[in-house]
Amino acid sequence: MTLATREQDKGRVSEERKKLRAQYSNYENAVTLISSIENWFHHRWGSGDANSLKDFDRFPDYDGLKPDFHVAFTTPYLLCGEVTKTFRPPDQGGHKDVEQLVRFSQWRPTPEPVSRSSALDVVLLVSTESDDVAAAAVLRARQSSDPSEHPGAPIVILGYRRDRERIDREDYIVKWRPHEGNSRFSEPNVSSDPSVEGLNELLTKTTHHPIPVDQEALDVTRKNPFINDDPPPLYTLVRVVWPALNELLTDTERDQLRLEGRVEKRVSFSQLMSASIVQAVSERQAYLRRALAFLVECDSASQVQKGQDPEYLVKFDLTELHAELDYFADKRARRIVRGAKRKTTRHKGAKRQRAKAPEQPKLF
Amino acid sequence: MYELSSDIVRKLDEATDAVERREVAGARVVPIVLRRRLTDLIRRRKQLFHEWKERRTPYGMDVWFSRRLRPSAKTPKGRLVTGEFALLEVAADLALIVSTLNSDAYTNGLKHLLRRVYPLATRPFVSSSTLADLISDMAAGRGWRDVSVAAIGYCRETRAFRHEMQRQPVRDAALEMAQQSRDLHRATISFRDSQGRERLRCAFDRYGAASLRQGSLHTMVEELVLPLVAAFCAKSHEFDVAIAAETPEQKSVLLVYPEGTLTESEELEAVCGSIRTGDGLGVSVIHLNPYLHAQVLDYFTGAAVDLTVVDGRSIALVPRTSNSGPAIERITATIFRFFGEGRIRVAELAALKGGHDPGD
Repeated sequence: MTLATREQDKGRVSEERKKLRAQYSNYENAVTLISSIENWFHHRWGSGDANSLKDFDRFPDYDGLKPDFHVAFTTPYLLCGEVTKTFRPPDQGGHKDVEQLVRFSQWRPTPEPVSRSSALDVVLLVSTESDDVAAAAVLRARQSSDPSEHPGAPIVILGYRRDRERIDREDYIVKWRPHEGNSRFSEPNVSSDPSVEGLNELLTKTTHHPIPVDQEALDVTRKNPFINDDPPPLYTLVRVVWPALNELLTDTERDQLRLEGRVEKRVSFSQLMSASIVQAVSERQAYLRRALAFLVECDSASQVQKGQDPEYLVKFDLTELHAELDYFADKRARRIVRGAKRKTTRHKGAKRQRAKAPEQPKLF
Repeated sequence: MYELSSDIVRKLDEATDAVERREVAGARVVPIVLRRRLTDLIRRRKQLFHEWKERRTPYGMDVWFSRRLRPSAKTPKGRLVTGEFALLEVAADLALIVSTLNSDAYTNGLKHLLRRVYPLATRPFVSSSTLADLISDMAAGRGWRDVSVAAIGYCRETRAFRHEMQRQPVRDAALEMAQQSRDLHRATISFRDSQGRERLRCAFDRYGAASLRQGSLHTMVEELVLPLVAAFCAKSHEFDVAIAAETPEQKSVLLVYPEGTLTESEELEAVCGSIRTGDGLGVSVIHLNPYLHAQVLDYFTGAAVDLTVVDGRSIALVPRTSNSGPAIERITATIFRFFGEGRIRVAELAALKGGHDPGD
């Protein structure tokens, strides 16, 4: 292999690794934002004087529609929440996002809450750079909709950004701006007690409001680190599957790890499901299977038995496991680049055979 | 408190005599807190050595070992290190390793075992202030003066050890080091009585390991090593934080540092790096800037622990698996040793609201 090729490969591996890390970060940031929101609702109205929060659901299912969160209050009041980083203009692919929002706003829960003009409010949290784009898209969707059709619930658009000025913690700063197309929350919302500050007092009638990322917020997802969106397999592997496999090592395997620095463990899917760390996410079998497949694609495991309860041989090598996230991202990236090269070489070889003999690879 | 049997005292006195007669340069005592039976520890770890011969004695056992070292530049065919030590069984949860080995046999032989006893046993580890207090209290209790003849401290900024040769009471040495962001790790102390006579000279460190230079091994063990082990064990249960059903009730082990210690991403990375120096500890950084959220896995116990820093000064350790006590204890000792010492507190997450002072 020439030096130039090696440099090229290093560059490609680095690119692939960055892609995997970016996917991981995007999901992790969404998880943190939603957990911080959940924590904020629990603190304000989950106990104490207000105590009107009935449920915060991070995995709502509206007959197949899957918003990012759903909050129910005893008022009664329902809030459907969606979180996104950037809102693309409808002509650049954002029309699907708007349609989804409108569908959320038209959803009616059963049983329906009485004496309300609309079944629920929809709130969209979007990064402050594109809250105006979102508002304009919603306005256009409303204007172009069939007037005989139910107008749907109010869609409240809140812009958020991370506040990094504080040294003692990080906050999400949430802002409501009076763009055309934006709505305020219905009244009453979180409580029928007028002395309790509601969503409008806190969010739409102030310049901004901080939602803290504190210890409790980060702890929300300790047992179940997922949100409604499907996670990238690297995330599931690092946060659930790999810790579960570590949990399942036997004393003998740990001794071998201690004495020789490495061990291979044979484990079945059903054994993985018995680990304590998996219990809170046991319905997410598809995620776990995808993570195991990813582990195989990292060359850290091989599937040794197929079927309903597949078995894997997993490699533990202590010299490589000091920084697992970096390690697995790197191994997967290398495998992707190797796989792509093999495809190109095969392709090139086939073409060249017609013209002349294929060039021999330089052996180093 | 631990009691030394007469057989153990006899063995310690034998070693003292050997030091006095200058048959050996010194005698070293290393405590290990047993989490499993000593026989299990030996059965599962003697494979670390090429040869291992043990002989039961009234105080525990004598061990003779040989270890084959890998080839190096100086020894292209590798070499054999041999040595022997005594294992004193003080209690079901405490053993003392007594050796008169030279530096090479200790480093390449015995230390090889000591670094691998976890999780079957734990090397105790206390803070510099506890170490200094134990030494001062011991001296005061006997009407002696303690003088630090040589001390080494670990500097958080340079991540290196520095020697301090100024003669002063150990507490003063520790305080001076603390003011310079250094943690006292080991001191060689000369204990003098009211007539100025030296009664005991030994080195003593945060792991409770003590090396006798002059005096009585029995005194050194009784007055320094055992109290350190007791101080360590008294705090051990604090790390056994249970997994709560709901987040607000969840407790965390908090390692609190001076304000501003953990505000830069380099400092947060240094914390992760310090944990990674521990054998069998893996750290995945989930989020780094400006707050830290990391996952720590302990491959020797199967535990998973979440680590967060959201206030720029405290590291919170929260268990994700139910057997995380020993892992949290080990992570704490590793951070204290390779990053810097903080104060330990156990607090409910709900109490740690932003801006709240973690307190004393």
